[in-house]
Amino acid sequence: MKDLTLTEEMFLLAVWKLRDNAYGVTIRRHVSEVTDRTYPYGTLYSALDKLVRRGFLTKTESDPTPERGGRSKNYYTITADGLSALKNALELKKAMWGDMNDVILDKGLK
Amino acid sequence: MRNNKPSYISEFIISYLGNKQDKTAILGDLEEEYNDLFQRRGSIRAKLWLWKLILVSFPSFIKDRISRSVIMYKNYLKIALRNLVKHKGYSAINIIGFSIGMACSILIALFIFDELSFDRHNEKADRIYRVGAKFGVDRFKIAFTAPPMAEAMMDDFPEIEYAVRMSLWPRNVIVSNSDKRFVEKKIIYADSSIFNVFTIPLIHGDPNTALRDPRTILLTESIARKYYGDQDPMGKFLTIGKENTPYIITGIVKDCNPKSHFQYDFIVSLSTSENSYSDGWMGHTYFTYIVMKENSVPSQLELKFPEFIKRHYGPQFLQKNGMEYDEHLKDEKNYYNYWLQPLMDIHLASEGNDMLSVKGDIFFVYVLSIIAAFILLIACINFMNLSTARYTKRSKEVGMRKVLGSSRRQLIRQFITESVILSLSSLIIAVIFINAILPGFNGFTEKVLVFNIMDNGYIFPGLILFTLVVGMIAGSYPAFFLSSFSPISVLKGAVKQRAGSNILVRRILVVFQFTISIVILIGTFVVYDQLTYMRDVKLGFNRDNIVIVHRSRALGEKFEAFKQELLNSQAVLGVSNTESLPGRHFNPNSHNLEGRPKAEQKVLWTMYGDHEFAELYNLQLSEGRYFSKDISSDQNAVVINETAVEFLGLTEPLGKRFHKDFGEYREGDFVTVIGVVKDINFQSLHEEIKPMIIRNSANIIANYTSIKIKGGYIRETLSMIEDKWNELTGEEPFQYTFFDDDLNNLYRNEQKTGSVFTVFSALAIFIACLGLFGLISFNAEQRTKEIGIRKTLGAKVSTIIMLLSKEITILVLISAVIASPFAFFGMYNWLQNFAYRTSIHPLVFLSTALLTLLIALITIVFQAYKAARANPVKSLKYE
Repeated sequence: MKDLTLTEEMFLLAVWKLRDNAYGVTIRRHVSEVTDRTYPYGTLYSALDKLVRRGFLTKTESDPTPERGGRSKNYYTITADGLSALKNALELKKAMWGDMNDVILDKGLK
Repeated sequence: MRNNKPSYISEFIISYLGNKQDKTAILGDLEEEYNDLFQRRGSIRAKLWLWKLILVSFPSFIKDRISRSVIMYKNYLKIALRNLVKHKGYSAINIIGFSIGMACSILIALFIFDELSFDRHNEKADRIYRVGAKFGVDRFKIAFTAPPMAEAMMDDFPEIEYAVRMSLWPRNVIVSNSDKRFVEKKIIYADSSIFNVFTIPLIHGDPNTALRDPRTILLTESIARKYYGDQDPMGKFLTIGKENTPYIITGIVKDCNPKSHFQYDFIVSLSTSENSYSDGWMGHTYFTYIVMKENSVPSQLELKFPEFIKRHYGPQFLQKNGMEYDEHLKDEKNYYNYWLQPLMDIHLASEGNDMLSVKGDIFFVYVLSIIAAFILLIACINFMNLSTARYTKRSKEVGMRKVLGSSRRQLIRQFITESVILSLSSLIIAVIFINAILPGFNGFTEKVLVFNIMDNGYIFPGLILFTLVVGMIAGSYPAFFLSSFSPISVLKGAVKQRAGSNILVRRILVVFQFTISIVILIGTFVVYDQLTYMRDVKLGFNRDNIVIVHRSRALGEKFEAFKQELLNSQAVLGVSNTESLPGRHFNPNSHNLEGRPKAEQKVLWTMYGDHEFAELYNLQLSEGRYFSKDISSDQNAVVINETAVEFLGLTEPLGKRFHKDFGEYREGDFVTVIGVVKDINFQSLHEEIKPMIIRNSANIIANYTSIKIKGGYIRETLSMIEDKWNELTGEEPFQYTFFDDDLNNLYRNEQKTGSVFTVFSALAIFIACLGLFGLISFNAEQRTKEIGIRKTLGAKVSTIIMLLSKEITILVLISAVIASPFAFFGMYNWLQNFAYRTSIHPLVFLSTALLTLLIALITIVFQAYKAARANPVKSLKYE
């Protein structure tokens, strides 16, 4: 199975963290706040679509909500596959980093 | 919390850009985000953010759309090509029909553009007008004006920038230099301002002085080469006719543009002519062209003309007639005014076309365009009919496509793609056709049309656009019809039941095709009827075996000798010398009867004939006698025709006297009527017979010599005449025509219309029958089983053929019924152009209907026979 890209990983993680409140706006806001970068909607939707297609996420349409001009929301929930993909990603990183940490990195070139 | 909504426009754009599935959710997300931004950072930030989002998404959106549609069209193309190849017969019928239709319309478009482009090469074309005069109650228009008018207009009207006067050398003449001599036809006179008005490029010479002085002449390049070869002609001398003073060559101009309404090889300075200095406002001798200043309105200038005429012509009129011009004008029949004719209208206009060597015919242009459009339409109908006829075959495909998710719009696109491919391939064949036919077409229309796709930037895109439009028109009906099937009923096979309306449409279209074809066919018959009628109508004079020698003035004193020499020969029966000939131009002149006041002068058409004229042309006298050589007083005798007797209200015409000079009233100088001839059609049959007077030309050396010869041995006789001519004139060129041909030439336009009708009616019927052929073969194929069952039950071959052709027969007959009134009114109007016209015989309608039916039946009978002969066992196994 292909590994997750960094962006995918972040969005997938965000969906899992947000639980019942994972839809476009909240996902983007969460990732942007945590990483302190702006992710445009284009990136967001295409990444989410891809994750849905790969079976890591499911999409459900909610009932229309009055505060959004009567429009529905697409809620995302993580699947078992999605969870194991996240786990894989975490383990991959742990294995790579091993005993390394930021202190060692700071010494770096010296 | 207040809910801030993004503007509707941005919302609309986003919803259009987005993919369909998630549209509402995405819109919702964006609105929420927008609202949030709005609360925190204010409306401007929020708006900027939204619009940036929209703009950034555009490029990839467009890319996406294009790649998707390319993929779709690739698929349409593939399916279309497969369909074309699979049904070769139908494709062939469609392509042949289409390409003939297109070739016709492109050729005709070339012709029409050419006709409409006359005189447009002049830089000031849109500001040039020709001034003409109009007279009388019916405002009869001529294009001639008086000599001093051009200058007076320049002086009086500030809105005129330039004016030029021009006129034609009246007849063919010999032009010679020291070693060469040729007969020339195209010599014009012009003021030097011609270069300011028309765009005539001078290669050598100074436009300001080239035509200023008397006896200066300009040549065109090719004429310069003809007379001087490689030498420089500037400053050399040319002699025109028998004039003593030669002309000095002061310039060389580019060859005359073939699309100029006046044609010239030589331009002589108008100041050469005495008449150009005349201050008489009564003679209408010159063409006057003016250039209006930018932004001036011709209709406003026209309003000033009556005052202008009164100012200049008034005093002269008073002096000559002792009457105020205003008084004279009070009588409506003395109406007189000028009119302006836009330069670009001249070629196709029917009024005042006296200078034209190439005259257009607006009627011809209309007829051609209508016919071209109709032929194309017939070809389009073929496509519609054949594609809808094949609907059962395609309906399964349509059903499958719909089940698999094709939208109706996609299906329409697919069918239109198919017809556009057909029309594009027809275009290629049409271009080949055109290149093959063009020389013939040029010969027939007397034009030099060129068809070169790369000629200018418009032709190629124009053709493609034209083809697309034709393809779309032809494909529209089948596309909408075929795409309308509901997939369930199609796949269940239920579509056959609802085909009834489709069959009706198809029948209507077939009737439409045949109606058009029959109208054109009836037109053909009537045109030929009229041509035959004109050939056979009793003209009242002999037209056979007469040779006309032109320019017989060249004989001068030796005319009598020439005549005697000819009469000595066995082959020559008579020789007559005349100023004009039946069918050629005659001058209408004012004649005063003795004892009647001047105000009652009448216009008679004047013919000059000598003693032999009546006998040679076999004119019949109803009263009195013709000129006789032995009676010397016949010098002052005239003969008038029956119409003139009636026109003048004479009861005892013999012995009546006219004042001898036209329009003048001098006492003691009379000509006496000695005879009355029966009416002859001395002009073309477009005209009624006019009152005519024959004056004695015995002592005038006239322009034409008519020689009546014996039938047979024509070639020998002609060469004998030429020998005598050469003997007596030295080296004058010998020009002759046969009188019969001259008369036939009067009806060249009609002959042209006739052949156009023939060709196009043949094409129309051919294309329509092609469609029929396709329909009947399809029909037979569809009814294979029915035919098989009928045959097993004992039907005869003839019964089956009847069965298959019955429908077509009825349709053609209906078309004939519809076509007849249209054709009748169209041709009735056309016949109004002729004073002498054939009547439209009811048999024409019947025979056209039968002819068309016959052609249609021949087309289908073979297919029907094939179907009827098929072995029923085989056909019952079919499917």
